[in-house]
Amino acid sequence: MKEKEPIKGYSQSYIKNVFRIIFVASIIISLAVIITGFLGYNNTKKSLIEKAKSQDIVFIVKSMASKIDSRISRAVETSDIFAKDPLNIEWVKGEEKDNGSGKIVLNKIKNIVNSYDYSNFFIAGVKSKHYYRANLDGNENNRSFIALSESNPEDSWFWKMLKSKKETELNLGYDTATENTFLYVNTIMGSVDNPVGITGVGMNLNEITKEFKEFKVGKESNIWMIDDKGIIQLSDIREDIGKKYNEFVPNEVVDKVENQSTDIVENVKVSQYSDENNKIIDYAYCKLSVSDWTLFYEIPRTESISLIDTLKTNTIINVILVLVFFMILFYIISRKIANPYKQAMLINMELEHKVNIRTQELKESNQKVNDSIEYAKRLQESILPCEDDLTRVFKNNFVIWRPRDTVGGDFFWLREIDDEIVLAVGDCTGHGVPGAFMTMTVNAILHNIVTTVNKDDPSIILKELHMQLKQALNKTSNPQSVDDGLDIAIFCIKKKSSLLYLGANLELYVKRDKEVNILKPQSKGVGYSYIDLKDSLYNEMVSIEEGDIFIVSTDGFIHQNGGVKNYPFGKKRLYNMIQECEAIDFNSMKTEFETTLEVYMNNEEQRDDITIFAFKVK
Amino acid sequence: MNDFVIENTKSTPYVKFGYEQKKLIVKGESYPENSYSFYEPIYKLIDEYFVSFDELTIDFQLSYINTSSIKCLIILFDKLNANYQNGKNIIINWHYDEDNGFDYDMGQDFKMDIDIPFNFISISAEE
Repeated sequence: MKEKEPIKGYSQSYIKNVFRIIFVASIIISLAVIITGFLGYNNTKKSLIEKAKSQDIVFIVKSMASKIDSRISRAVETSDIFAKDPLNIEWVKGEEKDNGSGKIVLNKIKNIVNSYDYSNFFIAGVKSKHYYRANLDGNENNRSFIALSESNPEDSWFWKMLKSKKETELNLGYDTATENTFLYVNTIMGSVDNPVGITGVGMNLNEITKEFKEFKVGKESNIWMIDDKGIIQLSDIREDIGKKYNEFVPNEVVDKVENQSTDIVENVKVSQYSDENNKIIDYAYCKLSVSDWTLFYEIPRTESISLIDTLKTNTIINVILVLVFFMILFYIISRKIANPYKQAMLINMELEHKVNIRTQELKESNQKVNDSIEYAKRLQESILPCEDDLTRVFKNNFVIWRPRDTVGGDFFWLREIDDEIVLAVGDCTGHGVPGAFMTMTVNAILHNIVTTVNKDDPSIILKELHMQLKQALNKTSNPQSVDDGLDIAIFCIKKKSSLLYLGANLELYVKRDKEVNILKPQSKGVGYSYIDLKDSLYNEMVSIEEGDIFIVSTDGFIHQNGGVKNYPFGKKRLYNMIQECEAIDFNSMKTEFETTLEVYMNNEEQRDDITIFAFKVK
Repeated sequence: MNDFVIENTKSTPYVKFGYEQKKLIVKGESYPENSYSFYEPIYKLIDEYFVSFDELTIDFQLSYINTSSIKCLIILFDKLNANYQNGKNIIINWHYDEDNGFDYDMGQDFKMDIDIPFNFISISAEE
């Protein structure tokens, strides 16, 4: 395989363009991926905040509020039902002296505490100032009571309640010993203006506090129940209970919460503020329906949308993965697919394969043609006189017969009839196979002439040849026929004493001692339609002297190019070659001629068929 | 009318028919496989040319002509000769190289058969 050549010109600029396109495409794709990631992240963040604000926070506050409300209103109901019970009222009116009723009332109290999750239940008479109480875990005597005294601060609630003229009152109390917040619901028995007793339930709000903890999202969020004085009454963090909530939140929030319309209960409002660290904190609040208390919930935004951090990381990882993926893809494309050199090599290999197949096909068909021509050569050689005939007829002779291709248009021909020798050297137009066809035709015509027409007059033979060849090639009748003919030199040698020569475009060189005579041809050719043979063709007669050398050359020799200027060999050189030849025997003369031609040709191709025929008669 | 030009190849000569200069140049070597197809367009041009022109100078410089090209040139010269005999003013300049010997002989052969003024000009003398 050939060495790899550096890619030049067009292909180099092509590679540059491909890489430019890949580079631009990478940038566009990278930008697209980054923008998509950024937008996706932002949209998700926005909708997460939206959801947190409009749904999550609201949901927490709303559900907590309804839980607290339902719990308190149940207590209020229970207390109210008990306060309106006529049996109870009668029993208190009679200063609790009716033991029968007393038993039922106190049993009722006990049942309420045990059956429902109240901490205690009490009933107190206005007249007797007696306070009966059932505790959840108490097993004290049914009849025991505490006598209330106006001077005792612990009992002051009783007189406050009577003075307040409210049918129901809710009080919150925090028991530091048990760390429990209690809600007391007190209800006046009888009418507000003429009360006969007070009854009420004590309820542990611990359960609600527990639920606060469960509902809370995030570590830094707060859920408080704030009373009408702005004091935190319920919180999952014990330390916060009893404190004022404005210690924790800015005044603007306190203002908002306090200015809320009291008409619409359980209407959750959502807002946000920034704390001292500039952290955004979302908060929501709502009035409870049973009292002036407010449920307040706040959560830092970072926590409510803590999901977004994961999303951020995921988005960044996604973007990086996509970019890496595209980089790998482009690398593969540029290396494997778009690499023009590789492509070119692939195409080259494909083409080489095709060329190999074609070459093989051509080889085969060429071989067929060559085989056919090789056989044609055997046929052509068979019409040339054989070596034995030539040596028998002439004292000495040599032939240089070199068709340019395997077969050619040059030929020489010999017949010996009685003491008459007929020799012809010819050059038919064309070379190769068409030339060879012509030689076969001429061969047949010559044979016909010397056997049937004439064997001792070259002029008659030439005229006859001219005529018969035209007929043979249909030149007179067929305008489509080719105008082919030949150059020829015809010799009739009689009894080895005289030689008759007639040439058509072929000269005869006669070398006698060191002198060379040229006998000119009579015609420019034979067989051509443009040639009108003169009627008076005359033969050149040479009376042969001993040592006379006769040489005929077809134009292949003088046409052969070569030398310094790559000119044809020319007649002058041929003449000089014949004259200067000092060879004594014919073999070395042949060698000398061949060498001269070879040297002149140098490495040029043979241009035409070359024939030189030289002979000595005696 | 645009000049007619055929660039030379290894086996065909350079041909230029200059209408303005009234000149035909044939220069190089002539041994194509099919001589007729090469010379036929030139015959046609000559016929057309003499319809409207009366004057033509032809410069030949052919270092080699093969047999079939010779035949084609003979036809060309016959054509020119016919025009010359019809009163057209034609001059043939045959450039040859003294070192060659082939081209001069060739020119001599052609000159023999026509009546047109036929000048032999040696290339070395030109230089």
